[in-house]
Amino acid sequence: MTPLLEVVNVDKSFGVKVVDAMSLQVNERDALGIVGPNGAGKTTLLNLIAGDLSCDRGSILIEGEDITRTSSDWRCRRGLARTAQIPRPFEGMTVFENVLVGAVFGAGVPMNEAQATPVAVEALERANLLAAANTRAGALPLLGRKRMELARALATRPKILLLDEIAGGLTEAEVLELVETIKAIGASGVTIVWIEHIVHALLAVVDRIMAMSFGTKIAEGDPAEVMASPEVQEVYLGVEPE
Amino acid sequence: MEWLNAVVQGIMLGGLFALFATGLSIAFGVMRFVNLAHGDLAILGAFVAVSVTSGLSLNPFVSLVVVVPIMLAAGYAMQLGVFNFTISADPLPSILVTFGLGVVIQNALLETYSADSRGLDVGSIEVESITLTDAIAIGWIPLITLAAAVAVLLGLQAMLSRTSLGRAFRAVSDDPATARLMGINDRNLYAVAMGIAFATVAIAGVFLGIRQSFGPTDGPAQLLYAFEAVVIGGLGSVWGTLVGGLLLGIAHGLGGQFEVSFGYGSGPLLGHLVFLAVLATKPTGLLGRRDA
Repeated sequence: MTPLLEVVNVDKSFGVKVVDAMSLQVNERDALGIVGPNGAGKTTLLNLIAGDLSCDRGSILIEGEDITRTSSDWRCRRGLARTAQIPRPFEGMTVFENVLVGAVFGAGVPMNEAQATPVAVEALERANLLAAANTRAGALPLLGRKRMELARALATRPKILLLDEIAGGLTEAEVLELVETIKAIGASGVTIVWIEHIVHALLAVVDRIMAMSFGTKIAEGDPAEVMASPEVQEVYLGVEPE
Repeated sequence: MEWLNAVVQGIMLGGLFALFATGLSIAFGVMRFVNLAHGDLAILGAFVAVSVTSGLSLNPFVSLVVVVPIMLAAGYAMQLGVFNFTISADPLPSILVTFGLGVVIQNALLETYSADSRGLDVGSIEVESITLTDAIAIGWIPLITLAAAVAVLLGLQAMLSRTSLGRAFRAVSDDPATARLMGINDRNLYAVAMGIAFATVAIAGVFLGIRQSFGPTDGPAQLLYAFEAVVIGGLGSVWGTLVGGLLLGIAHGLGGQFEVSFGYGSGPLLGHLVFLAVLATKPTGLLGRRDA
């Protein structure tokens, strides 16, 4: 079976190598978690996949199709969506308008507003944000902004959803709420790649974890096994090997 | 009464300024693009109208049906082919490239049309007017110009606030990287914006040509007034552009009252002073956005 998303031997350097010979395969309906200490290159990897950054070497494929040289808006229409670590709403617009932009332009098929409106409403429902639809986006609290990032991404009807520390900065209760939302999104058939520091949130959703350090993969596999492995304990949790 | 008349005539002139400023405001509002060739593009639009009116023997007003689509297409192509390569956080490349484009347009017009002054003839309506009182009469041409400016700006505002295209413009203006993640092809959108900017400045150029005679090198002076109107009203604000144009027009009208003592430059002089006063006290313009 062709993997839905494939990262093949990708390098990215900003003077120092931030992503180094990274390879990764994600199959349809997978939920992959990515962990690693700050500066491990996780967000850079996500930016490379989403097309915000271009690879120095290697390639990125969706359903076997090489998309390494395509722009981020093209990749969005091709089925990739990402949320930003620090939410970036279009502040002057309402929440609904924000999501409508994604619905109209992100689907990959020309769509007028009448056709896009139900898509936007559904995305808001799935992100559990319908009640705030007419709020000005700039006025949302943090959890609302995170949910709006989710809703906007869902409105583009992605095959793969890339989440960048979406639980970061939330209270414990908010994290649990958001985990339920993300679980439901995964269950609806969307493939998830999720970078997160809050491990218990990640463990509640993902079925595989990849651990990164200094731009390279140090472990990948069953979440519990990866988190318990000596390599991860050492670099990620700061436990010295005995 | 004489003063009131000066204000009324100033408002009419302000309509033309607002029309000039619209395209500049669009390009800056959507993609922070400063177009120094804007005045020359207005003159180019007027010369295209000269060719269309003589070639197809059309009334200059009717020629807009041909001139506007030509300039729209030119703006679209210019953005895709040239301007998009200058867009970055640094405004200098766009300023240099459009400065060069202005020089190219002026010289191309000189080669094609010679240095003679031209005018666009719309017949007797040019001198007809509506008499309000003994002291105040409004010319039809200035009135039509003002109406056109208001119509263009109203249409623009409706497009920006109600349509998907307008929402996409607001999205890329706010945050182009995030807009791309929503599937918006920003480069193509910039081309659409520049097409609209060229189209509106072509309308302004044709109205200028109907109002007064013009030559190939008249662009920079028009650019100056357009800039002043945009800065007075506020960068990137549709209503600001209208307010800025009208205020600048009123300043020209009132300043004109001092012609006897200060000479013919007194109108533009007061306009420049109003511009300076706004720039000094409220640099974001009267209705400007804080981030602009």
